[in-house]
Amino acid sequence: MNLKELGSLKYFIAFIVVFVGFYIYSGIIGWKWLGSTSTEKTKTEKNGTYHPRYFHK
Amino acid sequence: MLKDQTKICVECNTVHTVIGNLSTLLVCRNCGNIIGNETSIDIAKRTLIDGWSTIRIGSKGKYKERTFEIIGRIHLLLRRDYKDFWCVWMEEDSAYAWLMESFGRYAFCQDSLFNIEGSVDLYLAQKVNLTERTDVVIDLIDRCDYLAYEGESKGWQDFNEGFEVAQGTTEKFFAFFICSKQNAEMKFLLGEWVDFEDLKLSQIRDWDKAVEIRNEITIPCPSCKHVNIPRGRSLTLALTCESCGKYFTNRKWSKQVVKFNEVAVPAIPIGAKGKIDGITYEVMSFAVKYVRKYKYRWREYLLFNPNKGQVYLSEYDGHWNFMRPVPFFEKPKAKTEFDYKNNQFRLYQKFHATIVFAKGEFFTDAFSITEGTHCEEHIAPPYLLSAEHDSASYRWFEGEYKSRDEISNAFTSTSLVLPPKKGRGYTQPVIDSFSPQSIIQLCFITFFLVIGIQFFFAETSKEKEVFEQTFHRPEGSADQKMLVTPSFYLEGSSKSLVMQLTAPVNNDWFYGEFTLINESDNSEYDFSKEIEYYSGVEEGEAWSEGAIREEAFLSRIPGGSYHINIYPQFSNYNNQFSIRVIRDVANFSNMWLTLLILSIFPIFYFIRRYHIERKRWSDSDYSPYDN
Repeated sequence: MNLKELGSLKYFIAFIVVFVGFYIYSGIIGWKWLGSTSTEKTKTEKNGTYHPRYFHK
Repeated sequence: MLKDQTKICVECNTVHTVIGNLSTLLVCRNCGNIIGNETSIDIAKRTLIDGWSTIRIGSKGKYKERTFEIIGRIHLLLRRDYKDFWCVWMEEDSAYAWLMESFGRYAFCQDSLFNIEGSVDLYLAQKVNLTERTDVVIDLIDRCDYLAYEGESKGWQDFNEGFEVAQGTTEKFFAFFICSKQNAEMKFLLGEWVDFEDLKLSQIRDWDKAVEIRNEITIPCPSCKHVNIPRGRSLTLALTCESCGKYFTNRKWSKQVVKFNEVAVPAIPIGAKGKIDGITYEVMSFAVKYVRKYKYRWREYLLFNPNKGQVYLSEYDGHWNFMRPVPFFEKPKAKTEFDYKNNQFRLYQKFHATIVFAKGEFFTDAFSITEGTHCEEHIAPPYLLSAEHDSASYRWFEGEYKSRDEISNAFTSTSLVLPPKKGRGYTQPVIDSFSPQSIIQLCFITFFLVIGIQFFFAETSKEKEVFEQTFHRPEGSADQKMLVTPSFYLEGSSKSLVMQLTAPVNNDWFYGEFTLINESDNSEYDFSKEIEYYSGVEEGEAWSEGAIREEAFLSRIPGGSYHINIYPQFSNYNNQFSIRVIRDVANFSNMWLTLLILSIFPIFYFIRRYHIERKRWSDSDYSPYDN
């Protein structure tokens, strides 16, 4: 692999740099891309101590 | 002759001063008259027709840090080649040497000829042991039919013309064998190959200016008597007539005249100059070659540079290969696949070609030699390695695929109309600009980096348990009720959070809805989990499904105080469950996903490459894809 070949692969190398950077960032903030438990993020006005729910059974 | 002795040519009165201390022959550099002859043979005056060398008498250079001066020359015209042995005088050592020049190849030789004892029959590809460490391989057997001298020389001109010669080479050494049939005597000259640039020659000719050339050469056409003036001067052994277009040789051993039935127009005109790989070449000739076996024809251009020799450009369906001679190569015997310059070459085709049209000047009898030559082409796209051998020579050529643009850019001074590209060339790389090895190397480095980073994450993740508690169904309660955990603190900035949920169920279930609540900003993360575990025996075989433990992986949970609201649903039999909350847990799925995504381009590239290679080799009799 020489400099000429590296130059020809510049777009692939740029993609590698960006994607590996994103992978590192995800690792730092604890972001699991797939298989993470889906959550619904909301804001409560009741100080989080009570949340009405529908119970079945 | 004595050093510094002055001698005057009786014919042209040119004054000569002897430079060497043991010179045995002095030929007038002006008129070719023999001024002094202390050799054992009679040497007649002979006109030495200049070839196209840039070296001349008086040129100075350096070899292994020793300076030298060119003082004379012996010119041997062979049937397939020529050899100029320039006599070298090294004043510092008071020593002679020979600088062999032939089509851009140079070898610095010792001054003396060595005798070979006994009768030796040389044949092509024979290994000849010359010294303890030198075995040369014979790659040329030829005959010298013309011999001429110039200037001052010493020693080995005890042969008159009409002798057999052979050339032996190794990667480092050059040996030139001279055999006189009259007395069955064989001698050889031994030297080392040297690059033109390494000789640091000065006072040489500008190869493009003929002002110093003494005499013009003319070659009349044997058919129409048109007088042709060859650009290659004495190097031109065969040519096509500028007037009638017939091919003929201008040497006494061959009187062949060929009239071609086909007519073709070269895409690069004869005489055009182009710069390829930093070297300027001039187009000398053009030939259309045909292989009857494959009904395949291609066009071949002979290009020449006086200091670098002859090279070839071949074109087929708009695909170009640039070919140059290989100084020395020994292919592993009986192998169709071998390594050369870190590339694995494989035999692609074997053929005999004929020339069906030619135009321009040739340095050999190209028509006859092509007909008698067996060719083997090995490819490692974009590279090509071709072996050509006949009864008298074994030659290797290395080639490289050139794009249409590269050819256009090489001949910028000439307006070219190049043939359009059709299909895929047999040496055309899948992607021109990089090799498969570079992709593999890049992927290897990247994968190693990603795996290394993942191990770093795994090693540095804290995996700290921040909360653990077992909950029971409230007694006497028929309804499901909400449970609230005590507060717990998540350290640091955004990290992952894993909640492990365990319920001792057997053929039973547990379901819960959970709300992770940030107590400082009241943000909530809602999720649900269900635990099911069933087992039994059916037809004598035990089975089970589900598990008593489930795990929730929550991404990007900021630091702060939290508690969890739990809305459990118990079955009739299960009354408890437990929760364990762990902060900052590494996950490996991102790594696998990264490796997969980064593999998409290489996988696509290699699949495409496989199909292209398979199609490329479908035209070959030696396809590795055939069973």
